[in-house]
Amino acid sequence: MEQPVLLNRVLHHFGYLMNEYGFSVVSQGYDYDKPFGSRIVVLQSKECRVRFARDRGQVDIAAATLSRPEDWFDLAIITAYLMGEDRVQWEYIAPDHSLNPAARMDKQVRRLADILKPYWEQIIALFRQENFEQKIDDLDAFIVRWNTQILKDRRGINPFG
Amino acid sequence: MAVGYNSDPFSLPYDSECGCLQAPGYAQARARGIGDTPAGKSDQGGNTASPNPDPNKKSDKDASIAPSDLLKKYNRGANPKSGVTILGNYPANKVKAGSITGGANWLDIDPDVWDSWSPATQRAVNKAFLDEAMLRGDRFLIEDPRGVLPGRDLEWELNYMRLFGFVRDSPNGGELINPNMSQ
Repeated sequence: MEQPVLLNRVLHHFGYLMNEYGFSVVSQGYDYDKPFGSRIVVLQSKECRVRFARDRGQVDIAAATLSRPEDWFDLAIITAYLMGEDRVQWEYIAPDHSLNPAARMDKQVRRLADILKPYWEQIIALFRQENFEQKIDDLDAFIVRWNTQILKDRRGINPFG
Repeated sequence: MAVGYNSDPFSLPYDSECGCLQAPGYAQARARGIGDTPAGKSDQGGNTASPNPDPNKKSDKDASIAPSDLLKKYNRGANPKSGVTILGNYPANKVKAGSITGGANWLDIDPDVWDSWSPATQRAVNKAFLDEAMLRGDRFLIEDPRGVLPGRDLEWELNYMRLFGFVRDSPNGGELINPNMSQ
């Protein structure tokens, strides 16, 4: 059976998570009418979990601790938190419709792999159980700031643009 | 001072203090131009979902179909009788809908179908999903109030809902409310 494109692209572009950080693919039960790996891919190591999800043409990426495996934190927020700066470090982009659907997904996954590569040691350290419990209050406070201050300037974005 | 919308589709004044449009109410906004136009075409306000030429337009076989009909045909998360609509991204919106007694309405289009549509059709269907829920007077819940992500569909949905006066009930709130309308 042909490997779903999302799984295939994650394995290709995030191979370094498997090779350097000990992640492997674990099954997940969200895909109720699609083969595993076409809409959700979850990677897990001895320290944390990483999830790729495909929704409306976009691929996002989040992480969770092993003790709260479904309590996902998006890495766009986490990288901003790790940098200690109250500003958006990077943002998701609209799918490139000049490409076919498989190439669109490939472009997004490759971009995420490139953006996140410098952050993985910090991300994994944060989601290590003992560290996360110490940081959760600080992270929650950051997210309140994110929702109030950081995104404030973006409220002027024309939704028809 | 906050930046206003570059083009206001309904000619509603933008209030930089509250960061929202001063919508007199959704029904009035609808009467002023929001309509169920074919997905790839401009609505009365001159807005299409994408201002750019659509390279896939010829291959979008659904572009001439009304977005509400596309919703009926393809939205597997439709539950209009629930009175609750979930905004957000998969799979958290599915999980949240499943956690509500009686279920909830959420947007769930097969990813392969979605990918076959042009950006204009995609946006029109997403817009129709929100429009129909507003017309029904649904309660709007955000799937994950933890953080709105720049560039994701939830951010677009919240910006769109703000056109009609809907704002979060608190900075980290999990519900959208419209102070201009009785809840």
